[in-house]
Amino acid sequence: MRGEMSEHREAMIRALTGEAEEQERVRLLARLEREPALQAEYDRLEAMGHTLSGGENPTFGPFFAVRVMHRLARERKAAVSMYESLRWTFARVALAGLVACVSLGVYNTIIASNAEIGSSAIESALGVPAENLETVYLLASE
Amino acid sequence: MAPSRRPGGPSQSDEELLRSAREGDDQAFRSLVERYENQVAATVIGMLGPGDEAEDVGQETFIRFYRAMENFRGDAKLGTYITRIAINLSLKSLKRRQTWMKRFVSRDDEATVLAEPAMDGEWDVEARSRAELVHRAVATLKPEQRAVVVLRMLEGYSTSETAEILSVPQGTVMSRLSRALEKLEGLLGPQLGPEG
Repeated sequence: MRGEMSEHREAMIRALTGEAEEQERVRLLARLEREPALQAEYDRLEAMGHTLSGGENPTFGPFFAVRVMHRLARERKAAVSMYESLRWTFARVALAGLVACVSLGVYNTIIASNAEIGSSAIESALGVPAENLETVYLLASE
Repeated sequence: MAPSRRPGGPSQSDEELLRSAREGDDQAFRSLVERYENQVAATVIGMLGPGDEAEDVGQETFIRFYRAMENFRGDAKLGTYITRIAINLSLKSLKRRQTWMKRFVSRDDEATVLAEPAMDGEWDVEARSRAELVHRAVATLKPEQRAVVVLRMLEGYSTSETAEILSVPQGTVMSRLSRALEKLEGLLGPQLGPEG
């Protein structure tokens, strides 16, 4: 019963929205003539369709496109601003790191030249102690 | 059936405007917004009712479209594509609204007065416009039924277009529409005739 009800209702909707095929439409009209209750339901459905589609066209009000373009511009600016702030932060972190490395290298070089630690400039800058046969022998014997 | 609220406007086609917008022409994108804003308004306001939320979802629809413009291959009509974004955002917004209301109601049952607008038999028809009546009646439907009514009955999309926009079979569209109209008939039928 429920299935049949949905079926004829869907046929009525198709007829009302112009989607029913000619054969289906003719069959429905014949049935509506035979069944007054069904005709009344069809009329109610038709009235409902008019009510729903006959309302005013809703709008967002004037200058909606301008508001969209402003929002788009704001979002673009925010994206650029975030990129710029990240770039600024990383640039400063990188600079600080570079300064720290250079300072350490200079410090090690100065210390090495005073204490004769490194055997080469690179070892001195990196703070690597100079190893010779004597120190290696001492370490091994310990 | 073609949508009833096709945007009119400049002589440039959608494809030409889209091409220019992709190349960074803001004026072309603005023309597309102007061309489709009424269609999006019909969808979003039909789904959410008029107000700030609808305006926000409407704007967000075009922002999403702007971001996704590069991916639009032209498989569907541009209007259908934009409407799909609008309906998806509206459904998300409705879900958020319902989640919020559920939480609110669970904490304090008296807060049910803030639930979505409801219809009752003693509604004063004369005091309210037909549009408001329709909005309030449609607002009582489940979101998926609401989407079908808005697309099929208010915007005039065909059953197959509605099915495509909602990514559901055509049979589902018809059954949802049938159930929705049955409910709407109960709400609006006694108060509004064919002439309104």
